[in-house]
Amino acid sequence: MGTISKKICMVGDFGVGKTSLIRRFVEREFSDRYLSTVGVKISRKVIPLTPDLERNLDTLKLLIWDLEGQTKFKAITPSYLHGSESILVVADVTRQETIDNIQNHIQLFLGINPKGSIAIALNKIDLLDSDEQSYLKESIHSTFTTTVGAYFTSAKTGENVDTIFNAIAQKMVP
Amino acid sequence: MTPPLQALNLPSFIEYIIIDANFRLTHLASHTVSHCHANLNINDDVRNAFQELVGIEQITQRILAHQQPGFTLQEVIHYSSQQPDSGIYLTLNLQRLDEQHLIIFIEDVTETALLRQALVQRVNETELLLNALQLSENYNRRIISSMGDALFTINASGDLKTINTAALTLFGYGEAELKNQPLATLFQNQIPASISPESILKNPTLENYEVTCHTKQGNSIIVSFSCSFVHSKENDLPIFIYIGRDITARKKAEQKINQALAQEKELNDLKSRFIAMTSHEFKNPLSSILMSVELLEEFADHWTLEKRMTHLKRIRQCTTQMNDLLEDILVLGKADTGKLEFQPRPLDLGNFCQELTEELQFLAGDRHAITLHLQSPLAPTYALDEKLLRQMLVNLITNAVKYSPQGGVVDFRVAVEGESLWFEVQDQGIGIPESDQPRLFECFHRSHNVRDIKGTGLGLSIVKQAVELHGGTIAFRSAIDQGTTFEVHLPLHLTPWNS
Repeated sequence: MGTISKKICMVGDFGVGKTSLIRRFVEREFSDRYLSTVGVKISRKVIPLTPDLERNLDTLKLLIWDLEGQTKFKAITPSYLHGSESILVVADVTRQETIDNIQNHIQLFLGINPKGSIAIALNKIDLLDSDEQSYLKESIHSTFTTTVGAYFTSAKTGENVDTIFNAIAQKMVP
Repeated sequence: MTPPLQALNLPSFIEYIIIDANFRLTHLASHTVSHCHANLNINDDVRNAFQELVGIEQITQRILAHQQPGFTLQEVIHYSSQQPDSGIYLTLNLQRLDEQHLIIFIEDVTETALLRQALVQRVNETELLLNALQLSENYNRRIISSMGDALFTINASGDLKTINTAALTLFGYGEAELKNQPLATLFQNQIPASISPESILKNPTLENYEVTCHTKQGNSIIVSFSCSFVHSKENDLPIFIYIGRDITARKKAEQKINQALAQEKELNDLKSRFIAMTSHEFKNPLSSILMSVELLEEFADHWTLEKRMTHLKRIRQCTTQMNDLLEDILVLGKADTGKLEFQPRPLDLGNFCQELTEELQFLAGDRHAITLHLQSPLAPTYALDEKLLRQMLVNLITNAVKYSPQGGVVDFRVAVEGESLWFEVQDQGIGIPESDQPRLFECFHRSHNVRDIKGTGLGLSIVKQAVELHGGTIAFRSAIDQGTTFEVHLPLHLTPWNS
């Protein structure tokens, strides 16, 4: 049986936890220490698929591009998004401006790949108390229209991390 | 087929690989990227070594077809199998070589990427920190702003630094008007000692200190302050924190309640004094009457006429005494209910005073000398209420006699002073203690130094009522054991007869 490689880009503002989500998903680890990403780092994760005899496929090699986060001084480099079938837009639920920027990131991606799949990770949900979580879930959930969905995630606790990556993977291998 | 590389005329330090349309390696510079991709061989799919090339097949096709000039992927981190912990940053630049081949220039940008990483790290950390600080500040500011109590802080010099909305509202200032101004601004330029910074340093938990503050509009308000201090982290200087609650309304309500309570107590005292006095004043004569009646019933037949008359006289005296007391109470009762009326009639004042003096002198006996001084010529008549005037002067003169137990002179002076009649009654008696003077005209109030001199405490109340019904004024001066002088002024303009 064979493997298919697919590229996915993690986009979002700086410090929202893109690298941490990948680390949790790929290495099952988490560190509180913030280490900014410059350029791009590509991680791999092989995801087993239901064997497809017709296409001779039983694994998906996910190439996860960890893009440098957007800052006031530097926008996301569009060339990284070429060839990516999907993106995972990440925002920090404790920083409203990172949520406000989600739509811009989506537009940037759709400008390059209009048929691409989009998932949204509203990360660091562990930093909100139950009241704040309820309020945010009420107010935000219906805001975004995505092909995969918006998930409240925590790289720290692992909440919804596998779920969101697997949801994207399923979308990429129909 | 390998393209003519010599034609490219590339310097030897430029690293590159050449691939075909299927990403197969057709050529690599001998020194190229061997440190990270040692196993790259001719005809290998370069996408295994350069994963960043996965997915850009359409772009390479476009470059080969001259539809796109080239493509660059900057700062892609690569980890070699030899040094998995320290990656190198490569920038790949894809260019068309011919219709079948692409050349990929590979630049090691690790040095600049690491420098940039250090810079970005610092900038982003600062940004995150600022963001967290701002959130925290906003959170704290919202809490402080929403407080119902006034909150402000001052530095060691007493200058206001932080002032919340409630404080601005309470004192009626705008923030710019108070910030960096001295705290004394709120206290008419004088910080009360109880809540001064010095006091707070001595007692860091000052609570509920009530002080009077002044608003911008000049109103006085009573504020209950709780004060404390903290040291600023930067320079260890103290910052004094004041939390105040406006208790003006509560204080006014308390004051009203206290006044009402005092009045109620006063009324209760009055009632008690009235009951005590009346029972005492009535009981004695009633006992005497009862005793005399019993004796007369039992022994009248055996007694001489003279002895029977003695007892009958005692009964009459006691009855008169009770009647007088009742009269006094009735007068005051009428005055209280507004039924006591001022009914002026033309009165020959000189004659009236003369007769009154003689009458009272007779009652006073030899030990006292009541002297009338008519100090200015009097008109034939004045419009006066004879009954009220009599009550007034009888009480003043009999008091003068009564409270001069050792005997002596009582001077009764009468004169016309401008538009009023002036009466003065002066004795050399026991005087009125200073502590009793403010309440002298209250019903049933008697001075502490009266000892066993009998009295009801109603006389001067009646005098005052009579004076006031005449539209006049009464005043007195007194010294212990030196005597008392009462002065009464009655206006003459109240009735047409006097004009």
